[in-house]
Amino acid sequence: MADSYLKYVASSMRSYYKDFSKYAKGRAPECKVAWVTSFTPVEILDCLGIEYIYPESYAAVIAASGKEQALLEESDRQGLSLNCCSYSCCFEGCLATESGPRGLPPKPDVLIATNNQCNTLPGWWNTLAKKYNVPLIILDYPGEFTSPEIAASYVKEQHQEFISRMEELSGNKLDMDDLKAAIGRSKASVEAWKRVISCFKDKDIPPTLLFDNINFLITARCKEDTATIYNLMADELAQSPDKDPSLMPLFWIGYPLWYHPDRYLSEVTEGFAVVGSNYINWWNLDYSGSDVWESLFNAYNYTFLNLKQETKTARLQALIESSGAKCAISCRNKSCKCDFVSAKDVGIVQTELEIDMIDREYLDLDRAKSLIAVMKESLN
Amino acid sequence: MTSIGIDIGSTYTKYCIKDGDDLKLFSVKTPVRQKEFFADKLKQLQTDHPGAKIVSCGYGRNNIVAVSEISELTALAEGAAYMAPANDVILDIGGQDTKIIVRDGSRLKEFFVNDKCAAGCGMFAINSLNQLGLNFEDIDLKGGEEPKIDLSSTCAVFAQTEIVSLIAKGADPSDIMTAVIWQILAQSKVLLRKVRYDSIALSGGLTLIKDIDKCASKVYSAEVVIPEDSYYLSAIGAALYAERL
Repeated sequence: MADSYLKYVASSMRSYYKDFSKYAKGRAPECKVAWVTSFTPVEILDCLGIEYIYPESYAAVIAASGKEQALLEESDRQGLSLNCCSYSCCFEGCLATESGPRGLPPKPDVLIATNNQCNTLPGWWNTLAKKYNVPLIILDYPGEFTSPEIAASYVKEQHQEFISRMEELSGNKLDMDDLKAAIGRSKASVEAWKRVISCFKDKDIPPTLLFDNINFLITARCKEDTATIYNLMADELAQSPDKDPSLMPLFWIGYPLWYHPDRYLSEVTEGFAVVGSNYINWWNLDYSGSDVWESLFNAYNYTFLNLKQETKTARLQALIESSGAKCAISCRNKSCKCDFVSAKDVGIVQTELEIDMIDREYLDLDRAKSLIAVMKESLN
Repeated sequence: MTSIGIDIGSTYTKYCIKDGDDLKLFSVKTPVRQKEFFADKLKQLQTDHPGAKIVSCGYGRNNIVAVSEISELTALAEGAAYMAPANDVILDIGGQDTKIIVRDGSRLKEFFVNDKCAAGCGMFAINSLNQLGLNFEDIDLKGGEEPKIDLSSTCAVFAQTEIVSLIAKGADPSDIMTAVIWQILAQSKVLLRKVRYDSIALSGGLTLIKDIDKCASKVYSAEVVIPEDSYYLSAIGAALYAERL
């Protein structure tokens, strides 16, 4: 019998959560810990033996466990307005109450934020740095807003300095061959994940599966098992039955609703089949390059949310076109305006829903239902 | 064959009775107890126009039982295709929301709705008129002249507090009202950013105000047209839809 990806999923999860309070039982981590944003060049940390934790990802896990509302309220009581990004509110609530579905993450020795995603993150990381009194490193990625040559040299300098600081912190020396290998593993993970996504258009696959399993590409993209998980998953998914052709193909623009059991509004999208989503493509980073510096620059400077509006629009349109979607739901996300504004000129009928990816109380389901009904009507 | 479109809006219900090319249009205030009211109204319409096909739209469309219903956006696209065939972008400023639609023929192609910002809706105008002791007919946009007063608040609630201060300072109520209308137009610009346009057709109750097209044209920096019977576009669209049933 062929290996199931689930075996590797379990071991990858165990490895990621091993130092969370629920599992560590009071033991301190054996290495230094960094809290990172989700587009941090973690290949560097991985090679230096620094453990990296993703607070955003843990906020999503908390919401998926149904425990987010109490933590959001606690965060509000602590003075963090509910108008702030719900990832930050939910995670801050977890820290304040010292509770979460997997306990507390190990305390950070360093905080690393990038601005290739949104500008809230460096601000949030700043508050965390004050809380823990640890160094904060912010990596600045200029995206397309300067010439590629200038940007490449600017980013390379930062990466080099970043490596020096992390070498100091970890007490280890970076081996460039190791870094090259880690980048190679990330590349392989991306390619394998693309194989998974390619099944989505035609095969009857619940979107939930993709929304949940992209987690490994975010938190473990340069780990050995990640490409294995995705390749095995793609093999299994390729055997799935075809999508029901009578369903209207729908593109989901925006974050999954982490609090929702299906991660999207399955209860009001009857008659539709989700065939694509921009979210599941965000971590398809392009590691191409003639050396490690160029690979890291291409991957982390040109993340989707760090691109110019015209490039984002073109990429989104291409994704929608290749998915075969005839209509879209675009999520006007309370927490992430930068994601929402990228959903412009998508070229197909869309309905805009006001949602938050964590705070379930932000959704007016009746309103969503009536807007989706209008979209359906316009397609008939 | 007669067809009837009924657009039940938040403040007024618009009717279109279509008999061949002849359109009979009228509106009445939307009542609070809608189910009972429209049950009687339906009986009356069916008696006056035996065999007529009837379609309802608008936010209260479910309160008329036993007739087909469509969304007001679908109806707006249909009505606009009939009354404003040269315009495919229509901005409808309603009592409780603002909508922008792009149509392809009589089909709704794109739509965006803002029902969160009261300062971009007709209700802000109605409340301001009440506050100033003016009637709708008193609104004078003076040929689309720039307003003498700028409301600094972008929120309807705070703007109304600002109006209290302006009244206390002795500002001319007509100038205040002009500022309110300009503010409503400015707020609806948010929706326009989502679509491509050179020319916009306006619909909804505010189009009954003289010179609003001139103001809107300045605010949106685009050609703005007000189609004939612009107030009734959705009702007309519903009647056209009914005709095909």
